[in-house]
Amino acid sequence: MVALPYNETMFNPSTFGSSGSSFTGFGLSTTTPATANPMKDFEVVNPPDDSVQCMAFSPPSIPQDFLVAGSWDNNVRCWEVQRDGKTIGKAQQTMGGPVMDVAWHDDGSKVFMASADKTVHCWDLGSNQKMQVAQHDAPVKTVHWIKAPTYSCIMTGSWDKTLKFWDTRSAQPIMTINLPERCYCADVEYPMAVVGTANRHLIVYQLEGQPQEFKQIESPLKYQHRCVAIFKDKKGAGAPAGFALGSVEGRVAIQYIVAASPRDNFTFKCHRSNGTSNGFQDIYAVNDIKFHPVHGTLSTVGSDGRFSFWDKDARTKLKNSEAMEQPISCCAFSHNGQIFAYAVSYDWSKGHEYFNPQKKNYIFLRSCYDELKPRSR
Amino acid sequence: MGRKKKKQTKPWCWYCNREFDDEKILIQHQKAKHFKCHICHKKLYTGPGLSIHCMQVHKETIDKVPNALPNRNNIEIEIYGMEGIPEEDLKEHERQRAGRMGNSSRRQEEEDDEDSQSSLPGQSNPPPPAVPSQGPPGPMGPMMGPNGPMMPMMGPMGPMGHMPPYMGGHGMMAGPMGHLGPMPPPGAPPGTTPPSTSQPPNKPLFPSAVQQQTTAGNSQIGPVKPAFPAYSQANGQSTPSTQASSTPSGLPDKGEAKKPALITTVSANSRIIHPEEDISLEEKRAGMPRYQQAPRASPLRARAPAPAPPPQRVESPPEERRMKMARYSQASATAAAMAMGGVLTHPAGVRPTHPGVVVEAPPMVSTIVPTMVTTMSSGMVPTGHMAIPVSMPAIMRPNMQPIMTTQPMLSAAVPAVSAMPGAMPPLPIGGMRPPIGLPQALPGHGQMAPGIAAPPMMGAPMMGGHMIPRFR
Repeated sequence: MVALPYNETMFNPSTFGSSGSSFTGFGLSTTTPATANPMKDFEVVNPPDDSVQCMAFSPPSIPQDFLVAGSWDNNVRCWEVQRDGKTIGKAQQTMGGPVMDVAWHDDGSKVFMASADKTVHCWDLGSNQKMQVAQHDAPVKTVHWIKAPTYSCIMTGSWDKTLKFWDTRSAQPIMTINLPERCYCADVEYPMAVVGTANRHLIVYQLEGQPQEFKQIESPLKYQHRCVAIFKDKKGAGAPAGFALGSVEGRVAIQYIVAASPRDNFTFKCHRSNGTSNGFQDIYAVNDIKFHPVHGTLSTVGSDGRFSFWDKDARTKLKNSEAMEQPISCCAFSHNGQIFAYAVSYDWSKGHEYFNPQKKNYIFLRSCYDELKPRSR
Repeated sequence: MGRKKKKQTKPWCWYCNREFDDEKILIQHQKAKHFKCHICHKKLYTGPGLSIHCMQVHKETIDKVPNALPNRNNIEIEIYGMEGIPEEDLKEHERQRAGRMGNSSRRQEEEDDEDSQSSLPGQSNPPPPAVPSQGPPGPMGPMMGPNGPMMPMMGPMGPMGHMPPYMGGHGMMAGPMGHLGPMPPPGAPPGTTPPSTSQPPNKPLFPSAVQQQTTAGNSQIGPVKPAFPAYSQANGQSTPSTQASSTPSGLPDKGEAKKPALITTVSANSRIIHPEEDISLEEKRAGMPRYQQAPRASPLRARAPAPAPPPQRVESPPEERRMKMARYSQASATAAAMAMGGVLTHPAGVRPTHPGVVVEAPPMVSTIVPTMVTTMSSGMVPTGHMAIPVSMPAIMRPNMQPIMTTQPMLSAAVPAVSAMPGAMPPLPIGGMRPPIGLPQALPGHGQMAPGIAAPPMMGAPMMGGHMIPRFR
């Protein structure tokens, strides 16, 4: 574990586009209308200027909580998140294209940033420098850090239909795996990795010794795969046991790698409006799924601008939020499960006509530990 | 279910194919869903009744029955409960019902091939909602379509609904795997044996038994036509619910291989908030002109396509030219040809020159001149951000400004330096190092140097030596 001198002097908050000084004081900005923050959560200061595509909290190896968010404005921003919900803009890096995914190194000193410019860069936070560590033939959609007992590397999934593994010191991948289609979503929980691609392919990899394909799974969903998250058994501790897969059709599938019985696998509907107005029910895409690191319960965020908490073992919904003004594009849990972050920004679900660059993008933080406690069966 | 023997067939709604325990309930359903005036919410008794009401009271014409399936929304046909249903549709429903019963009796152990296929005659009949083993629509009720307040899973997440048919595939796979679970293979200790053998590591998570694809999955994934993501697959997945069923709409696309797949819903009362083409939202957005830009270091404002090239970019074209020059100066003509091929494509392409350069390299590596790799991959470490190249040129020439920025990485990079060329295994040990001429050609630009410098410096011993720790 590396002790990092996150001095203020290292970072120049003025790199953030707007005012040089970060907001002090309480998370709720007085200028945020109540409709934009219906859940009255803490607002992250200096949010990106374009939609937030991905977010990640720092790992447990560093004492403070840092949040990084990648955006369609090509930037990755980093904030320190304090206990009281206050956020302080720390630093920012710019990629050559919209940022598709971010991932932390397990020692908390580096952030990997995958971009539509077909590269992945490693941002060393201590020096505030970045360097390229991966290359694809098409935008890189996912990046994950793999920490195995015998090796460490990053796994990158791209629209060029390959999954590549990189030792970050080398210009060539140490392994390339061909995917049946463009990589749309992926997740890694050692020793398991799962990748969802276009045309509803779903492949599970085992990472022990050397990454290799474990099996291709017939998709439990009928619609385009959008997000996937691995869960572990024993409520968040233990070995990875399965994954949750979200589609564009307001549905999540819970799938066990080894199902004790076929009934263990199921799907549930989510992020759908009531079928009241004109009898029409609007079905929204599930943009992100994340599992609570401690409780093992999960959260989903959708194009309907809501987030929901679920207990997959009790098969119940724990909480449904109010609707935000824009879709919620991604979410993240802090490593100890205390903070739930969700980004409210346009996800293109209604096409380019509904894109309003003037609309502000938000990232909200919510103290969620109690809300995500599993329902005892 | 109280009675063993119900009426011949349980009442079902002609408009939307749902089943009900009781005709009374069916009628209530029809009145609430199909015969309700959308303007004043008055419940009529029949379809024509509704149409007349709207015309007389609201002066509005209705041409189709609300919440009905597309082929069943004729407002002229007078249906009341089970009365008025055309015989043909009755028979068809019977057939489907028979198919379903047979299906459900076999539960999750069987493939549903013939059932689903028999239930898809033409597209006139949307496949019945997948029937869980229980059969009756009761438990299906909450799952099927908006039923009153369609809260997304309030309380219990509801029945598994359409899972069972999928379980046909999974059940089969879980079966054999379950058997072998308790007896994990006499441990190939993970990591020591090349997992390419039939025994994957013996963690309980990945039962050793059947490797790779499930039977169903295999046939499924491979030949799946890219055009029908939403199409209920031929090998027997009945669609989940009437709401999300997309089978009939998928079929018309079949003939047009070129057309991008579409996301479709069959249901008359719901729509998916998603652009029609079945590409991811990010792909669609990335295709927009505002996001089509050369990678640059410029900050937020610069969203318009490639206005001011960043410093890196400026350097690259000259560098490309130099690369081409180097190619020409190569000893090996073939290598030069390859290089030309590789390099030339990049300037033609969009922005990412160096990234682009690299793009060519990997495929080339495997196919033709391994020497390409040297230069190409060195090209990959272009932007001065890479530490490895940084250290190399440091040796060759001191005046590497770009390197300065990455100083902190140097220390980490140095040990890896030697490994870097090691990253290119296919490189011949021999002397085919074309870009020897390059270093001179690229003064002041760290990018090319590292790789270039590498070959002359390393040569054969390099390869055998300090390889990056591979997966062990």
